[in-house]
Amino acid sequence: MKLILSLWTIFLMFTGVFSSSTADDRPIAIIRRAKPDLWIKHGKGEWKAPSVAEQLFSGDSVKTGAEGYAAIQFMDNSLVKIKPNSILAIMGEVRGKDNASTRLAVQVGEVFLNVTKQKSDFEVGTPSAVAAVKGSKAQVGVDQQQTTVVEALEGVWEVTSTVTGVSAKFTRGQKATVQKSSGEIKREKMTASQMQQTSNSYNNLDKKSRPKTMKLRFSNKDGSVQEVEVEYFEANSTGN
Amino acid sequence: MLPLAAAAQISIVHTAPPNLEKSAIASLVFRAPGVQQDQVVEAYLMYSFDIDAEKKRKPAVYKDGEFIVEIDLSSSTAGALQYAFYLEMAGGSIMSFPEQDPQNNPVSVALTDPQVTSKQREGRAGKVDFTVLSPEPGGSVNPEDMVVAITLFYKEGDAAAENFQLKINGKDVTSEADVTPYLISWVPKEVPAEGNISVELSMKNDKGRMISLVNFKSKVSKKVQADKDASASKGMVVGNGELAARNQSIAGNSQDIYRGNFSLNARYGSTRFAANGLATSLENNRLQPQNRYGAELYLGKWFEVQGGHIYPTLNNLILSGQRVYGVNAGLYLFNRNIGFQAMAGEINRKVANLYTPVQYREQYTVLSTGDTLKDAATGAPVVNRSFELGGQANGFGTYTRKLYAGRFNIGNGRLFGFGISAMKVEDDTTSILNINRFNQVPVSLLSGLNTDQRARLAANPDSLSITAPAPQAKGNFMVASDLVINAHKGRFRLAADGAVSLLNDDIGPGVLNQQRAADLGFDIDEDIADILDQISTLIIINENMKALPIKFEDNGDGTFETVPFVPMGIFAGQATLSLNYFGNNISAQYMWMGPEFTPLSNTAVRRDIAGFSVNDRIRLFRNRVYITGGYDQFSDNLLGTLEATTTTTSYRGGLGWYPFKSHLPRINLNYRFQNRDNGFRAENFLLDAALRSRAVRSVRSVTADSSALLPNARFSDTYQYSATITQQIKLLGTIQDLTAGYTLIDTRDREFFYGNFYSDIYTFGLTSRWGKLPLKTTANVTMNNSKALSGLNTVNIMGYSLGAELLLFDGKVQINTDVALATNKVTNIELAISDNNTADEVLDDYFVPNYDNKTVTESLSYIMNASARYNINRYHAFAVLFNYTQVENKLATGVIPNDQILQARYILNF
Repeated sequence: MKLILSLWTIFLMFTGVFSSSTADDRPIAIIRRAKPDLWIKHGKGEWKAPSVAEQLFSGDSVKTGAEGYAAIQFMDNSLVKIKPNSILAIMGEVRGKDNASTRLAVQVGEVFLNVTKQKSDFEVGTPSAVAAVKGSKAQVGVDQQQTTVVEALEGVWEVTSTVTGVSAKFTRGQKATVQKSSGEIKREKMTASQMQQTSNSYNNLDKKSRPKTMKLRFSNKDGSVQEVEVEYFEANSTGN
Repeated sequence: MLPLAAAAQISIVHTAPPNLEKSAIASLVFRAPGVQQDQVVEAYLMYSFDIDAEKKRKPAVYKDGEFIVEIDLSSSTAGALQYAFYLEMAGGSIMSFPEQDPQNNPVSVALTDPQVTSKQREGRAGKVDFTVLSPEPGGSVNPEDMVVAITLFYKEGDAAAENFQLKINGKDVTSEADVTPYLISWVPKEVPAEGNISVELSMKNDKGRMISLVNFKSKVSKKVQADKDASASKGMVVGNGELAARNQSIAGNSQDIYRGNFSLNARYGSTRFAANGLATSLENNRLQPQNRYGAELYLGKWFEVQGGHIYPTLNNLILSGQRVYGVNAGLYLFNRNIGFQAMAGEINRKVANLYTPVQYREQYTVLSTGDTLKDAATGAPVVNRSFELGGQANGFGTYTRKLYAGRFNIGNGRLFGFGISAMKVEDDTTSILNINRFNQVPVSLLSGLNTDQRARLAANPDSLSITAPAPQAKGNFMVASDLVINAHKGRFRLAADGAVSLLNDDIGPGVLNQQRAADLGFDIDEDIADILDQISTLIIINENMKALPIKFEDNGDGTFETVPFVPMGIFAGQATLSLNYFGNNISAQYMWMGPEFTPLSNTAVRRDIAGFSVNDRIRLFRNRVYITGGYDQFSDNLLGTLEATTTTTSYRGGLGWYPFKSHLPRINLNYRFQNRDNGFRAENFLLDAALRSRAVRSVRSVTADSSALLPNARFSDTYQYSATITQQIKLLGTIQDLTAGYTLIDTRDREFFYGNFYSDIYTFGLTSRWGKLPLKTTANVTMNNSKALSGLNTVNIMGYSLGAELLLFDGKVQINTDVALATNKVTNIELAISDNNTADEVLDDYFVPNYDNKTVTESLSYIMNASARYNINRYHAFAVLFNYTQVENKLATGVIPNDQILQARYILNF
């Protein structure tokens, strides 16, 4: 079991390398919201700045910088929000309206998942754990030490350590921490305010991903004034 | 019957929806043309699910000329919502919808499972499945988030990207869209304006014809952003304030009225605060308060407190949505599994009795001879001197009716919940002056008497006659429990309530003690007297109890002994079991509501009724078709105190078709049969067979020279049919929503000749949205013909109305107008009693129509409304309203004054 999970994780992490040969022409997601400092890579292509509604295919990767943010909508209406300083690959297959599988491979960073109740599985893999769910909300984060933290905000999540192969179920208000070194799954309880804080952090990013407008007024020596409207984004670190 | 002017002018307009979807909050909108907010003391909806005895009360919110009541259907497992809407007017009158017998014939609307998401977000057209990713059909999207994205699923060869066509608001944007074989997306070049947006994706088929795959509407609104922004930050404050001035002339009385109101909502984290207030120049201390204010504070889910004019719920049987002026606080621990609730306040405020000054009267006795009676000794005329204390017109007062309540619950109701509540409602006898004897009369009321007369009255206080009407102070103590068990994700639900209500109709004499009992002619033990005294803090028990908890037992020696006794009539209870399996919603209910169960805080509860009801609703074809059936049987006379027991038996059936596709009609058909029978038949041996069904009394011959009076027969069948059809038609870029309805009620009395009732109502409505024009128009026609007293009383009403709503300048200006015309013809022939030519014998009397006293009234009324609102910016708005009502009595020469209202409002949003 442990061997299978490890192999599967390795497959997730490196699937992008081989994705160009397996991806079909059906997109599995679109960029629903994009804040600059956001980059995507189609297969083995180059990183580039995406536009809203840009299609994502199996094997594509997404990365956010310190000011970046993205919301990705999958074909089953599941929504994934990606926090700054994250890197992940998306994989999946759409076989029909009620038959799709989606897998995220989070290398580092934090993502918020709002998964539509579906017949197929929605899985998130990290270097140390796999979290699987049907119809639920959670945040999955991976730090530089490859420690995985799954915060179950709704529904039931099954977290499996890819190190030990041990699985445990987590319900709303519970937090799973999986250390890469030991593979141990630690269970903690979250307070309501902690859960609210998690949700609020994404709401704040949502808000800041909307461009704001600034009016710049230029005046010549002769007194004529010209106004120019400039769009800008609020920094992620302000006003939280 | 209402005066003609009132009948013609005041009516509540409401179009009942053909169905309401569960898992949502339903908004029911009522309009009362000509009625302004500050003319209304209370506006509320009484509603229940299925035939639930627990009628709940929900106050209505007044907004822009409409009374809006929101009902949360998210956890409902019922098959139908029954409701009636009431307006309690400042003058004391009560208007209702429906107008006729709203308590027994409420509006019934089928509750259906939600379709919006499944029907529009996902679906299938031809060989193509689709999922709408954005925007949410029927939902709202922020202008800056506007993206249209639809994903398609089909077998290769069944469709091709080049055959798709995307239209936004009717405009072909295919060339601007990103069209790929399985995903079509479109991003507007500029941020779109607020308003509705229509999305239509079509595909050219093999024959070259365009077929529609997806067609839906969404709303583009900045409010979405505002809401999300609000939720994103830890804190927020929103609110609004309004100032209004109005000049009105109603029924010939001209008046200037001013009103101000505000509401405020603030949140910081999980702490929430709200406040509201309303002040009007119509406030009158002779009426219950029209000025209202309230505030509420919520600390997470564990603590809440509301103060001011509030509408708390304690237990559905004893307090459910009644207005209370006071404080309600709740403390909930362990995820609300343990809860405490306490409440104190008043449900009536005091209104002082208004007396006229004491009057002195001298009366002489006039003998039959015409002479005045004289004192034999002195020869002076005999004078009867008396004093009278009377009341002013409309000077009847009301005590402050105080309320204290508490509740404790275990379980939060998600799986299990049990609560027990206790409540005391008692009139404060010290709150107003209620004069019962001379020494309570204030000096100011003796101003009409001279010194001698005052001295005479003081010397003979019993000579004061008090003729002013006086309110009776009441006391009421209630205990109630409620239980709910949910299992299997809500598919199994058991809910039960039980309550007991002790009511004292007059607590004025105080607690019953041994002295008082002796005065009344019986004895009570000292122990019982002590118990009564001890429990007087909860309820004052005396001889005026609605049901005495003691009864008298004959000792056999002419004396009586009192023994404690539990009067069953003060109890009430009901239990409902709901099961939702295999597409069936089955509910079974049993209720027992004692005749003496009279909570002062919930006057809407049914009394003296017991029985059961079973309903089933079957969902077919992915919730497109609903078949309903039901049976219930209820009886009164639970304690056997009435002459006869009436049993009401009903069968119901219904068929509803609610197709997903908007171009197909929605149809709802319902049938109900009801039989009422008290077991007695029309009997009168003194009348011929042809006249027996017209008899005033039922009389049975017992012996040759004796007879017995029987209860009058009550035996009737009622057939009720109703049909509603709604159809959306798209025509030349416009959307027309057509509604037609028909209701027939036919009551056939099988024993009383004049007991038949017949009514048919036809309604037609057309709501039109005019393509790109920001215009919505409505047209409605209502026709109602009813016959009561087997045709002797007829009412024919024809009503027409036309309305328009126009948005201009990107929604900054909103104009509403409507015109209503109603003709109303009432013919009434009263029943008279014929003595059958035997003036001395009343038992053979029978009813005959009094054609000589036939009255016919015919009126024509017009109501015109026009209002405009200008949203100056996000914060400020200004609105004006004009209303004009004209009523003509076509058959009378008298002139009914026209009504007119002109109002201006300033609205501040922040």
